[in-house]
Amino acid sequence: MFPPWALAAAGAAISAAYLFQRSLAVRALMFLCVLAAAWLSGKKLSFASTIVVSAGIVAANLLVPVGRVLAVLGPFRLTESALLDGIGKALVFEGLVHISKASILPSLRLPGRFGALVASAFVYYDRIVEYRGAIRPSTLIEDADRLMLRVWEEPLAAPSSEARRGGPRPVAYATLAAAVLAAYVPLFIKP
Amino acid sequence: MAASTHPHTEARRRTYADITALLGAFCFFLSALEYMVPKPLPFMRLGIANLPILLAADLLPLPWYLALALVKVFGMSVISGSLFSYVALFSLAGTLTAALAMRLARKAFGRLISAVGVSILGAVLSNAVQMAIARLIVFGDAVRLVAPPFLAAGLATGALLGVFAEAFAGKSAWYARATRELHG
Repeated sequence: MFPPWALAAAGAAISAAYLFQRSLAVRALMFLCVLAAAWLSGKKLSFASTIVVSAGIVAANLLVPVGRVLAVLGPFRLTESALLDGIGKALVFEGLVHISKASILPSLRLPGRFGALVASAFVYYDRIVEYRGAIRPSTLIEDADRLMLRVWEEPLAAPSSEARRGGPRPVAYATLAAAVLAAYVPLFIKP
Repeated sequence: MAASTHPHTEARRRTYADITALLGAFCFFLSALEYMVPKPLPFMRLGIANLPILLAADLLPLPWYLALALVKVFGMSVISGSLFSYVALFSLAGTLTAALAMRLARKAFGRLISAVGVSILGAVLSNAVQMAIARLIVFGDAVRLVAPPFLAAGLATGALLGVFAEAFAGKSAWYARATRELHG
């Protein structure tokens, strides 16, 4: 539905708004929105990984007590500022991951020589993934060498990122513009 | 601009581009494999995907070598969909540190330092830089708790990659052909 470059640009803009958001409540709300967007994009999400990483970040921040003591568990003091700081960092970390997941399509191509280089690398990557030869631990070097030669010897056709480009999609652009606008509005509203 | 380029220079440029793209593709592939390896911190990199960069340290001139490092970071971020996240920042810092350290070591010591030494240097420095960034933006002082296992993992993977790279460079027909085409 969305052109890859437009989606990536919207993702970059929303990432900046998300990063600059100071309110923990608004950031949490935005996090739920980007989680939904990443899920709707059809990307593979790991909620277990999100929970483990977030819990790790919060726990690490709690190790250094800062602010009002909320609870004491043996030698460990649970402090308010450290808890809020940890939750904020976890939300930023995981939020940016999910914004990226929602906005970066594998078909995204950069312009110029560097873009052409990346596109050629993706052509080779597809060949590696499609390679059907055996890779055995006992003959790893020989097998890897055979794979390198096979992939390299096939002529490299020019990657065609233009082929998929369709006409203008007003609804898609409007949707992305609305999402970017919605991400920036809370920055200008005083609580 | 291309029309005024000497044909040999243009052919050489194409060979550099070709080898850079192929090694970049292997970085993507190894990165996908690394993704499946359990780590103390899931978003950090052990450096398995730096193997093609280690091989390229003796193959490519510096601009193409750095281009390979950037292709790796960008491509991996696109594949994993992490381009705008801290994960890409960890990847960029770790990859560039490892790439520059390995290149410098190779240029400074030549054959006096083995691929194992070069690889360990790159892996440990890469992990140290990632820990420093993790301390700044995510974990704070608590990073010291995860630093020892992470640096130890870097040492181990660096050593294993170095052993593999040394053996591969010695036996590989592809590597020998690429070296011939690039260095005559």
